[in-house]
Amino acid sequence: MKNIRYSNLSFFYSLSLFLIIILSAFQVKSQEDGTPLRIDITGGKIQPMPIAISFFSTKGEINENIKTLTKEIPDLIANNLVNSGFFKLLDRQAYMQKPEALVNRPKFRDWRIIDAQTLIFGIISKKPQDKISVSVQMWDVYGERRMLGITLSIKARSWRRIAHIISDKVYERLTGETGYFDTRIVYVSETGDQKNKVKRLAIMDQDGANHKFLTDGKSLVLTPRFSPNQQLITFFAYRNLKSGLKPSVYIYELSTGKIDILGEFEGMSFAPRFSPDGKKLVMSLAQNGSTNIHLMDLKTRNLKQLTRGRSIDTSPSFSPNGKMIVFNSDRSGGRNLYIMSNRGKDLKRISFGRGSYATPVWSPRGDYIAFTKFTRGRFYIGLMRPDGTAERLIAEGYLAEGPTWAPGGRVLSFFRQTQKDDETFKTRIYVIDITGNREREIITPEDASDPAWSPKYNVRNN
Amino acid sequence: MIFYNLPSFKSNALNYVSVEIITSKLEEPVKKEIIKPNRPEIKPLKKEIIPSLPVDKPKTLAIDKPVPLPIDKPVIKQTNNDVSDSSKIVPDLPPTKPIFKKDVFDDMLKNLAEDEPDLNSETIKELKKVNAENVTSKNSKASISPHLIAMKIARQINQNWTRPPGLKNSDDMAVPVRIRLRIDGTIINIRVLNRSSDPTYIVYQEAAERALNRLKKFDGLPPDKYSSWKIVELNFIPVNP
Repeated sequence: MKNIRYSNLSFFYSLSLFLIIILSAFQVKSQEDGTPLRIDITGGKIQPMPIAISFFSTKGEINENIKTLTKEIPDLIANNLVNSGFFKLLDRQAYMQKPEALVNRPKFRDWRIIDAQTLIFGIISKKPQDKISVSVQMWDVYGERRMLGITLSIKARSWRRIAHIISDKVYERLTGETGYFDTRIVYVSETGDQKNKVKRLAIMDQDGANHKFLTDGKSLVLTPRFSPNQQLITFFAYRNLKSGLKPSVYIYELSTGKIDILGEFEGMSFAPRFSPDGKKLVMSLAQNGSTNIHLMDLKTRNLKQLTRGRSIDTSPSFSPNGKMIVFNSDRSGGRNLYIMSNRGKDLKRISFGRGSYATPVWSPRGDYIAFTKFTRGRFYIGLMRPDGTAERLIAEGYLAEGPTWAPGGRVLSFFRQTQKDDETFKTRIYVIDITGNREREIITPEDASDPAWSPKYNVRNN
Repeated sequence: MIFYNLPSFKSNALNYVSVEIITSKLEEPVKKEIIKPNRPEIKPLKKEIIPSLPVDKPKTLAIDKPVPLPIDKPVIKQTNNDVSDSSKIVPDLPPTKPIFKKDVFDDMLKNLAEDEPDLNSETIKELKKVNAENVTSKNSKASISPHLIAMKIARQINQNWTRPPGLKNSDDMAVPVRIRLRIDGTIINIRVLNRSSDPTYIVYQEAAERALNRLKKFDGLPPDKYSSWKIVELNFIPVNP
């Protein structure tokens, strides 16, 4: 792939030179008028940015723990940044300036030798009440100026959170995009065999750390979904009533632990999704043999039907501006993706490829719709533009499903079942970026499915 | 058995940790500005140039959106004009996908669904032939002409200009920069002619500045033509390949 890319660039580079030649008559003329030489630069290289992340140094009283953190925090930041695909970490063995020496202004020449474009380092100090304070600076090595300076304090045992917040700040400063490191993933953890499946809701940091179970496994929990702007999830669970199993939708506030039952919805098989403002839920309900998309106002709990007809319309998902909804329908035969306005108007089919399409999810950046596709006996996770063009399959599997976007729309998560041997399968959560090149498994204790990526936490600014 | 109180959710189980940002000093003012006061000789120029930038379409020399290049019409292709460095110009063509607008990094994208379309070898041969003709015809009048200077400058910048893959759509992300050069080719002044608070633009702007800071000095510019390249206006256009 790389070769193609570079030859492409060199082609356009040469093409631009060709045009320079064509237009040079004009250019020469303009020079006679005293105008300086004008050149369009259209080539360059697209490559991960080489960054140096030094080990941190300490200030004041220290202990063993803080000493370890001088390596662990920069390592975690480096890990986050490299996994985004934007950055390349330069080997620390090549750093000429020691962490202690960086406390004053860095010696930029030493960092230019290894072609570090950006240099990050920090100082950790001990604070009362088991707290630590971490000051981080980021420098533009070639421009010789500071790009970021931030000091954070937290309980020492929660140091990972600081590393994630710093990663977000660095990422946002260097890419202009929303960071996604200080986030979590809620998912359904599964144990037991086919007959006695125990499904528990679990939560972990986006890198798999700080794993916790949220439910005890006595109820069947399915398809958690995050609110796009609050630490709030909806999920779907079966309530066992005298009249039989009843599917209900719950709202769970993560910061307070408050649970609210939203209602019983017969014929619902997936949890609803939030609108971008978090005020509405869009869902599909089966009634009288057909399944249609409905919109619920969370305050009034009023339901409004958006699609009509005898077809099965499922998996609705809002565009980030809240104006459009993408969903999946069998109205023209096979299962395909459609978009419509948030009032159910201007319906348009967007998927035309072979196979059937399901679970579309609109990227928070707005530029892609992720979906699951089933074709030729295999499942794929794919991306397409909201107008249906540029379809691209980025991951595949015996069973691969349930894409969910990280804030910023740069990476997404999904789950995949793979066969361990003849009898057993394992299901795991994976993270992949939109280029499709950096897939990795998130380590979970048990089988894991239905991931839902949280929005970013609010950080208190003092 | 009723599950109304859904099983044992505990709020403290989440261990929500608050973080305080004590200070958040972003963007320390630029310490070492490379810009020096304009020397008298460029003052007369200044008035003429600035108003016309950066949206001076007719004068831009390269393409903005090279999206669907029809491969069956080998009219546009690289011309190997610079004899001194013919190895640079590789006569291969990109696979074109005219169906949709490409990303900056589309050619790094993985796609399990289809193979990249290939050019057939005949087209390539033909292109090479046309190239060769172009080269010879151009070579005959090759001297250190302004377009050759422009090429030398562009090539050296391109070798130093890097930007990360998968950045947000790069429409309107062209960064106009004016540089002043010493007679030995050293860049003595870098001035970004268009600033914006758009975080993505800032990323592109910094990439352009970094390319020049990294390059520092141009090689091979003819001293006898110094007046023609003493001041150069560059437009860094992150072309979507």
